Amino acid sequence: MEQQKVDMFMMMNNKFFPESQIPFIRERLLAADENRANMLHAIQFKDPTISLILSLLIGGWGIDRFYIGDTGLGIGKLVTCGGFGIWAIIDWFLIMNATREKNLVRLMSII
Amino acid sequence: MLHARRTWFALCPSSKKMSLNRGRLYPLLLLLIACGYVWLSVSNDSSGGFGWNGCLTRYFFHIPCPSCGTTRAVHAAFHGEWLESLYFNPFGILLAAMMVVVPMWILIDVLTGSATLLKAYRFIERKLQSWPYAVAGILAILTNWIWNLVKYT
Repeated sequence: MEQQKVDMFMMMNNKFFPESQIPFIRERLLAADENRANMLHAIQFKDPTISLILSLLIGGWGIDRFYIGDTGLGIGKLVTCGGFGIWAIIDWFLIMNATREKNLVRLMSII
Repeated sequence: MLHARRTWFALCPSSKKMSLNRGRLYPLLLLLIACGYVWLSVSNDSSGGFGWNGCLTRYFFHIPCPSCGTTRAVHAAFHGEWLESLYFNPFGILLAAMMVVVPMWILIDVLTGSATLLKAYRFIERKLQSWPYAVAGILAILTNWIWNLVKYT
């Protein structure tokens, strides 16, 4: 992909990915085929802020995990009352990074 | 697609940390199940007595959550009182079965060096993410919650 397009993509979407992986994503995008660029705009990334809000409000029911696509863990959280309330609190701190990692997996499955 | 995925997994420095692999899922499941057994042993009836009843929803909003009554349901299921367990919460039988089956399944997987539980987990997760199953699941949970609200308030 052209450097300008990669820069634009990174500028618009860097909040969706783990900070430590930004150089790696950039490198991979630069090496990717040109025809992948159109597909990139079609990907819907999950917003870490929304997952944090969901986690704070209804994390005890696992909705935050359902939102990022961790359906199995979401059910685990739901049937255990948010892991007896403890897992729900731990997820307040983990969910933003988990969302970013899920977005990275999603992006990498495309490029 | 599969090739690309394999390539990035090999290249990405923290790819092992990101995917829910055997090394992450199995300890997490064992920890959850161990917590479940500890919870069962310390709490005979989660509705009374304790300052902490294990449920943020009931603690903050004073309403029953979709999984209210699960502790009593699992207790009843372990004592063979199936109808009582279903009445407390239908999740109870499911959880009781998982608490027995999953540790044995993990043990078999570890001994044979396979990952059948992980494959089954991913299969079920994929199924539940498709529309018909997701809608059925959501409806079942909502119905159960409404029943809980009627039963426990």
